[in-house]
Amino acid sequence: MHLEEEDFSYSGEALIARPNNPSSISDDEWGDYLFMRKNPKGRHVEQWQHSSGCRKFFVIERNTMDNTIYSSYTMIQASKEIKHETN
Amino acid sequence: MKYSIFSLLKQGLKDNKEWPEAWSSPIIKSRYDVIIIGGGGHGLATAYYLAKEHGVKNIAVLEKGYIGGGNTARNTTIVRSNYLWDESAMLYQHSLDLWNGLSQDLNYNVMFSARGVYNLGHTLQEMRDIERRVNANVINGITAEVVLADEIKKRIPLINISKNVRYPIMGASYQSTGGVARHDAVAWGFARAAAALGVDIVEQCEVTAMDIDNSKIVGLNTTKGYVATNQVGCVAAGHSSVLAEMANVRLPIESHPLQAFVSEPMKAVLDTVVMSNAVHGYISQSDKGDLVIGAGIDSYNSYSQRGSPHVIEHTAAAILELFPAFSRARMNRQWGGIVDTTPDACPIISKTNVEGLYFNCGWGTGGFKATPGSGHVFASTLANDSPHPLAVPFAIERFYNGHLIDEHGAAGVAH
Repeated sequence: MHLEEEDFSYSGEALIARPNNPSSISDDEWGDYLFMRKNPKGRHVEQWQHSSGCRKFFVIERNTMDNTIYSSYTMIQASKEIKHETN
Repeated sequence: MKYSIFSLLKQGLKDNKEWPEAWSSPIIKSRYDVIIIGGGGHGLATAYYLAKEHGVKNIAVLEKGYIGGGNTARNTTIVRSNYLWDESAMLYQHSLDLWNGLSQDLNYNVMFSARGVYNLGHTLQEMRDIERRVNANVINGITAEVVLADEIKKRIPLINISKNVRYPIMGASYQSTGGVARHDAVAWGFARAAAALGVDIVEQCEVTAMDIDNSKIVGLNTTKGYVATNQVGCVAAGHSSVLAEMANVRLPIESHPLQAFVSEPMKAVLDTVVMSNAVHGYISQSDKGDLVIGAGIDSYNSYSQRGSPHVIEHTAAAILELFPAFSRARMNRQWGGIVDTTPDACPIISKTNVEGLYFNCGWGTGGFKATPGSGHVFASTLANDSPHPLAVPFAIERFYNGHLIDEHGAAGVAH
């Protein structure tokens, strides 16, 4: 099925885990979690939301040079299947 | 050769066949005291001020493409300094001060034209924000005033101030000292002036790896071989993250396409710069006569120098709401550049954990206006191994200590 890009909203790099106990980590670790991004030239694992449709968030792996989409995941699939590869 | 009316006459009489090249194409050396990665306006300005004001002799600028082929020649050429916060207002005003007199300084006509910049307000809240920003500007010594819709209509006859549109124009902030410059002339002018001071400008030379020993930079691998150096300034705009990864430095940057387009040339119809956050677009008319139009970034990370068609459509719609008469203008060219956005819409001018490695990046959608000032403060930062006073607030540490400089209001859409 074909859907327009405008049906979706981009929400950045995927699988950034919120630290379990923010008050116990350093400013550097918290700043890293909040702001630092991989921003790769090439394969990027990222979140999108089907904001004009079912409103679900999902994860795709996309090439940032030519927009090739390699794979897509539900949030649960993504956290199980690709977390260990990207860390 | 000094450019002047006399050299113009002399070369004209020789049928313009004997102009020397503006800058040479040197063979890359095996060692430099300072290497600037990125031959855009900011990188070239850095090299120029390093040579001119700090007496550094052995400098190279490495450019993976060609001079004037990247973002320097892809932006919409707007120059202004009416930012809200003291830190950014001072930095951009420093740059504006350098724009005045830059053509004489470089002996190259960068065609800086202070034709004024209007930032439109379409809602009551926007007008309140505009008044606040104008007041902040005035306190900081930056020329700014609030102009209401009737006065805007007198000054810009083609603009539509009808209340019968989705976002009627209520007023604007106006900076009479802002304007436009010829963007590629800025790259060429800095390149020529830097080369005249002995800077090696090496084009078609991409950095592929950084040689870091014991947390110190000692050299670079490039497509033209290995170069030794102890000081590297990265000024690579949208590709900053790619360089940072080579040194295991983390940056809060995301690269996005920013699109722009120009119409066919037409007679003079717009003698100033008009920008709008609410309808999301900005427009000016170049000296050639083409309307230069731009808007916001494409939402997703990309390095592809092209964006999505719906962004173009949205931009055109915004401009037509402001200037219905332009509905008949035919567009000539459209393109994208890769901009390096930061979470607070402010640049990063900073040392890193690697000794001798510095970054000047994150200028996002509005770096062109900062070209001379950015180069000037970064040169000082490199020469003294300590941030220029104006660069202190823009260190990477702000993302760890929380001292962000939130310029989304002044920089969000307006460039």
